[in-house]
Amino acid sequence: MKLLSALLLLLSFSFAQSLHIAAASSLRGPLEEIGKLFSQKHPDVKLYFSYGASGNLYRQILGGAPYDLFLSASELYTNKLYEKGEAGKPVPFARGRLVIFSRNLDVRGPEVLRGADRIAMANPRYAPYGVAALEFLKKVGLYEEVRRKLLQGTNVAQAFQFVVSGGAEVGIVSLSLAVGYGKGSYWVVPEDMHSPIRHVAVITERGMNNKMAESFLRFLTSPKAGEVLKRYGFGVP
Amino acid sequence: MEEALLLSLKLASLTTILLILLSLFVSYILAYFSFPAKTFLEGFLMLPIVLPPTVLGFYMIYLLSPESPVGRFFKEVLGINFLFSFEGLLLASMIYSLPFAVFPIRDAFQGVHRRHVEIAYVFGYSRLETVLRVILPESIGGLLTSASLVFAHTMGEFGVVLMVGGNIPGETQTLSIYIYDQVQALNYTQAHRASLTLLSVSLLCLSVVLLLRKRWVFR
Repeated sequence: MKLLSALLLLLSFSFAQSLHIAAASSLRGPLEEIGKLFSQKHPDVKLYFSYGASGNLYRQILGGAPYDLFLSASELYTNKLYEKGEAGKPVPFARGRLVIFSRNLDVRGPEVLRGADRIAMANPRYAPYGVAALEFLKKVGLYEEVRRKLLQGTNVAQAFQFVVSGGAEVGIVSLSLAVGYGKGSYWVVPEDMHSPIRHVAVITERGMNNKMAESFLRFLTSPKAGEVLKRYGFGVP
Repeated sequence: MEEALLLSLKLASLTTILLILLSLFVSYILAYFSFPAKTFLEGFLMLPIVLPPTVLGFYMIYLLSPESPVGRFFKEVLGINFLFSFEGLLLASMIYSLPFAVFPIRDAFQGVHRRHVEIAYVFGYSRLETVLRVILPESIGGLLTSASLVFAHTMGEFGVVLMVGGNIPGETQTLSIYIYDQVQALNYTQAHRASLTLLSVSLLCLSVVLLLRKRWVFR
């Protein structure tokens, strides 16, 4: 045990600093690129990303999970953390868009949902894109009709994977994932059909002691990172 | 992937070592003592086989969260936070694999020839000496079975890790969770590599131990 902890200590010193980032799974594509750009500027910092549904990550942070930075797809969770004193001031950095995505079908609008066997979406209990998808379905009056065909993923990336693997014909997912995948067809849901999907970053209580958390947050809101986010279909907050 | 593999190996090794040490004690009591409610205790120890990992995961989250008295005690007095940390995974794995460690060793202890134990006492061996010189050498097959089962079971653990571990690279992202994560990221190549690695490592470990066991038991 002693030897092991000594080894671990050695390992942790081999990088001058590390930064643990919990991020909404819609952010995986752009964050990998932004992470690389950040690493060019700070080669001595090792970045660790954990992706998941924002609600789940929020629960983990409350449970004491060792994240320095939390990039949520909903301001709800970051605000709660801020109010509880578990995190710093929430910083909005992007606005997400919802799409109807299919691998084989030509998606031109919500009607495609009527004919689909199964529709994948994220779980609205804890995934912000699931909440938006549910609002959209209710707004277009399709919810009752398609309710039994909904296949819920733990987070939006899993819902997207259901569609790509062929488990569902269509999915109501994030634009960023559809752009990142590069194939298939999608229809962007107009923004007035669901409440805005604001992506908000906070430095957690633990991250307050990590200077790199502040640097990464600053980089995330820089024009350089903004360009990457824009390429993945994110709008300005 | 290397990081996740190393973490899985570390978790499985530590779980095996700690759990075997604990089980030697528990199995000895189960094999050589009788006391009231023993059957009930045995049933209790066997629970992790029957219960879904979600039940264990849920109770651990409930008990160990910083908001519960137990979790607060660990955090404030011992400075350990069991939720979403390696220590928590270790604890969960030990509970989850407990029956796989205890019962083969108990059976091995019970299988030791009664006369051998009696002879040891006649020759003036103390209780501890009897365990070390008679009971343990004769139970080595059971010990190896336990160790291999616990190791393999922990390598393949998923549900509990997902619930109490989160998905933190280097801390709680074991190889099985890494595969889950890569599938969600549509990195099927990485998922294939990791799955094949997990399959090979587990098969290799099991084969080595089964081979050793064969050598030792049927000398």
